[in-house]
Amino acid sequence: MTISFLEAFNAKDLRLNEMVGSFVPSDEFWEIAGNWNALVVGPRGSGKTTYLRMLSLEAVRSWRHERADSLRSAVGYTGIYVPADIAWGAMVESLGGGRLSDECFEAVTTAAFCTNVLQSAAATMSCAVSGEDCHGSISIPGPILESVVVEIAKAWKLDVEIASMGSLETALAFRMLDIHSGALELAAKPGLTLSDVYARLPYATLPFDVALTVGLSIIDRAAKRIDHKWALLLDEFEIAHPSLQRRVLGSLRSANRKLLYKVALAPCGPHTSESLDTLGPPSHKNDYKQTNLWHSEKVSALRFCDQLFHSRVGHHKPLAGKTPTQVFGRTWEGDSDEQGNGARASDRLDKLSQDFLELRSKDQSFARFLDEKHLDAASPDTSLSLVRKIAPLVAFRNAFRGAVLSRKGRKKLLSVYTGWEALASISEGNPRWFIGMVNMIISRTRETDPLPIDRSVQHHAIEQASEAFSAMLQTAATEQAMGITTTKSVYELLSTIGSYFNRRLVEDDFIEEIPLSFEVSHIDGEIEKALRIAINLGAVVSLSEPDEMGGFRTLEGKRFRLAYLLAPEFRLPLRSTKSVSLSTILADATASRRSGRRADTIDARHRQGALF
Amino acid sequence: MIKHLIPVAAQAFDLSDVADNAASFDMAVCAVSGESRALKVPGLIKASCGRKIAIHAQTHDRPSPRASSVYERAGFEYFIYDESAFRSLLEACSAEGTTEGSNRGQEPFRILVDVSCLPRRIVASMFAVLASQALWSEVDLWLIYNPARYVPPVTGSLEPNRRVAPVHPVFAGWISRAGLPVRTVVGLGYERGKALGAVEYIQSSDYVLFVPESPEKRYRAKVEQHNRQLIRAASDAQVFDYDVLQPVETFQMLGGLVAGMKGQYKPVLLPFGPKILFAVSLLVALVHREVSVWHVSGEELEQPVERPGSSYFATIRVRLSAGRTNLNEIAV
Repeated sequence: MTISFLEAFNAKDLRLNEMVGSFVPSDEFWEIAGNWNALVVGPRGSGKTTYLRMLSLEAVRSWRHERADSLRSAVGYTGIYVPADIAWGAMVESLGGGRLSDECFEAVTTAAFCTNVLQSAAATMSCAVSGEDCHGSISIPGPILESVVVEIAKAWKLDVEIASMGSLETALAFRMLDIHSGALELAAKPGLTLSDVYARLPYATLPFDVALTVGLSIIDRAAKRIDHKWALLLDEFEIAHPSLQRRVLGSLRSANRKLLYKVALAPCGPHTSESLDTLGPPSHKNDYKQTNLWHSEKVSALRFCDQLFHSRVGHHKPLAGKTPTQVFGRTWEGDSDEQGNGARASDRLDKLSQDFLELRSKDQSFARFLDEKHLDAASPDTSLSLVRKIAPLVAFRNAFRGAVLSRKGRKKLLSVYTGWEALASISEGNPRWFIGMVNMIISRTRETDPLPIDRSVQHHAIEQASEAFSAMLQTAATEQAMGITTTKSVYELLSTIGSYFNRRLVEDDFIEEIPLSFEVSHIDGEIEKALRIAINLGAVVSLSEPDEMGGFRTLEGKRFRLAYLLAPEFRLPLRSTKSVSLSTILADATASRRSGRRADTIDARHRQGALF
Repeated sequence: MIKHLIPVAAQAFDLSDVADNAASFDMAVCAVSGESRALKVPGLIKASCGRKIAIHAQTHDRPSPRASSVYERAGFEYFIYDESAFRSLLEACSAEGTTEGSNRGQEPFRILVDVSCLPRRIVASMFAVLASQALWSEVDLWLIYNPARYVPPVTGSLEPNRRVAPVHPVFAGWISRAGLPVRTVVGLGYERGKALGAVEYIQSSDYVLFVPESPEKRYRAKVEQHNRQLIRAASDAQVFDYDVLQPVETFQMLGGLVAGMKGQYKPVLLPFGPKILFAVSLLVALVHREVSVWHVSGEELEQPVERPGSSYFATIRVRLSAGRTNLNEIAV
C-alpha cells in the first residue's frame, strides 16, 4: 500500500510511542524545554504540538533516545499537555448558539477552557501516581491519596462518588457536557445576566490558574515536595478567548512559583493585536523566552531535515546508513552535482553552458546581457562571481521559458523540484510536510530500486504535497480565521505575488538579480489581514524577526517570501533574493488587469458550488 | 433541560404521496433560484392549504417572470430568510391552527421542504429551528431532492470562501474531552480540490469518503477525477458509495458510522456534493450530538447557474419527536 501526503504526520493524533519513537530534539526544543516560561511561535505544522507534547510527563518518561536522560534531568517540572484544535475551537465558539452577550459568552468559554485544563491536569496527576520508580512518579499511600482527591474535588467544585484520580477525570467529563447544556439553557433565558450564568454554572467562577495551582499544591504537599514545579503546555492557544490570552500571556511576566507556562501561538494570532508588554513588569527571574519555529534561511531547514531524515531512516532498512543525498540525489541549481555521487566538474560545466546557449538562442534580452557583460555562453567562466550568481536563474529561466513546456523542460522541472536540497527546502523544515513527503516517496520505492530514488517518484510526492497545500489555502476562510477577518482572498493574494515573481523571472527582460521576496509597505488593511492569515497558515515565511511578544504586531517594513511548498504551483525557484515592495506587486497586478494582460483570479475549480 | 426534537423514524415516499397528502401540509418550502428545477415542487402541492413559502437568500435577485408565475399560481409567498423570521412564521402557523379550533397542537407539524436549490446555511437554520421549537411535540419533515442533469463545474473568477466552520451553532457538536482526534466524513463533490483542502484545513487525523452514485454517470466520473488524491490515499474500508436517490439508506449508513466513533473521535461531517447528503448529515447530527457539520460558506454570493432537473427524485420523511436532550448519552 502506498502512503499519501495526507497520511503524513499529525502530532496531535500520533500515538505516544509513535511520536517519541521518531522525535528529533532540535536546538529549538531544548530552548523551549528549559525551566522557564516559553512562547512557541510558528505557523501550522511547524512542530509546536510535537514540542509541547514531548514535554508532557508521559512523553518525557517514555522517550528512548541518547539524550533522553539529559532531558529528564534537565526538566525540573511535570508537564501537563492541554490539547486543542480547530474543531474544538469551533465547538467552543458555538456555545450558546451565538445568543449570549459578550460577557456571558466569555464566562461560559472560560469555564470550558478551565475544564479542559483541569481534565489534562487530572490525567497527568493520575499518570504521576500510577508510575513507580520512573521519571516524575510520586508515591502517595492509598488513604492519603483518597483525601487528596477529596480536597482537589472540593477546590475544583466537583462531586466525586469514589475518591480516586479516575473519578476526578470522569466528573470533569460530565462537567464538560454540563457546560454545553447549561449554555443552551442560558441562551434561551430572556434578560440573561452574568449572575444567571454563575447560578447555573457555579464552577464558571473558578479562575483556571488559581484552581490548578491549588490542586497541584494539594498533591505536592501529600507527596512531600512542596517546591515542585509543573508546566502547563497550552497548544493552539490562538483559538482561546482573547481574555484568556491576555490572562495567560500576562502571567508570563509574573511570579507563579508552582506553575510555568509554555504556550504555542500562531505568529499573527489575535494576541498580536494588542500590546502585551504593558501587562506586567518584566522581572529578571520570571520572564519568558520566545522561540520562533520557522526557517528564514535554507541552511537552517536543511540542518533540521537532516536530523529528521536520520531519525526516520532506520524504519526503512535498505536506506540505513545512507546519507540524504545518496537517497535523493542533489538538487540541480545550474551547476550542482545532481546525482550526489561526485559528477565530474567538466560534465557539470557542459550542462551549464548548454543552459546558457539554449537560453541565448530563445531570449534576446539574455543575449544582450551576455554581450554587455562580455560573457561567453559556450564556455561560462565559473570563477566569475557573476556567472555563479546567475547560473541558477539562467537554468530556471531556460527550463520554464516558452509557452508550452517541452519534454526537456519537464525533465528540468523534475530536477528543479527534486533532490535532497529541494525536498528539505520545500518542507520548510516543517516536520509534518517533510515526513509526509519522505514517507510517500519511500512507500513507492522497492528495496531493489537503485539510489538515488527515481526523480519522477520524488516529483510526484512533492507535487501531491504542493497540491494539497494549495487546495487548503484556496479553502481557507477569510472570516474569523484565527480571529482575523478580511474581505480579500488569501489565495488570490498569494497567486498575485507568485505570478509577479514568475513573470519577472521568466517573461520580462533578463536582469542579474530578480526579486523573489517582498517587503510590506503602505498596504491596504484588508490585504495586510489576508497576509496575516497566510503567515499563520505557513504560506508566507518571514525573513524578519517578530516585533512583538508572541508574533507580529505590525507587518509594516517586514520582509517575507512565499513558502517553497508553493514554488511548484507558481513555478518559482527555491530561493529568496532581494525584495520588492508588496505595493509594487499589487499595483503591477492592477495595471495588468486593466490592460487585459493577465487576470490573477481564484481558480474556480476549488470553489464549492451546488452540485447535482 | 432544553427540549430538543430528534429524528426517531425515517422512510422514503413517492411523489404521488405528496399530491395525495397535499392538503395536510402545514407548510411547504422551496427556493427562489436561478435553477429551473426549483419550480418542480410548487406544482405538486397546489392543493395544500398550509403556508407555502418560496425562500430568497437575501442576496438573490427577484425571480424570473416564468418562475413568478409558477410560484404565484401555486399560492407561494416570497420569504426573505432570516432565522427569527422563520421562528415567527412557525408561531403564526401555530396560532392559526389554534384559532381555527383544530387540535393541531396534538398533531405533528407537517412540513415539506425541497432542498434541491436551498442554500446550505438556510437548510441548517430551518432544521435547527424545527428541532428546537416548543410549539409542537412532533414534526413530520418531508424532504425532496431533485438531482440535476449533468452540468460541468463552474469556471472563472468567484468570490473567496468566507467561513470554513460549523454550518450553524446547533450543528457545531460537543464532546466531553477536547483532546480526542478528529475523524472527518467527507461527502465528495465535483469541485477540484475542495474536499482535499477542507480535510487539510481541519487537520483531520483520519477520514472516510462518501462518494455519490446517481443515474447521471458523468457526475461520478468527474467526482473521481477531481478528488483523485483523496480517493487514492484511502483504503477500501474508508470509501463508501451512497445512492443519491436513497437518502433513508444513507441516513442509516452515516448514522451507524458516526455511532461507532463515539468516545474515540470528534466526528466532523463535511458534506460537499449533492444537497441531499447535506440534509441527511444534519439529521444525523441531531441524533448524535457529538457530530459537527461543517461547510464552506460563500455559495450564496456565487452567480446562479442553470442546472436543469433530472427526472429522478430522492425523498425522505423523518419524524422528529420531542424528548429531552440527554447529553449524558455523549460518551464520557
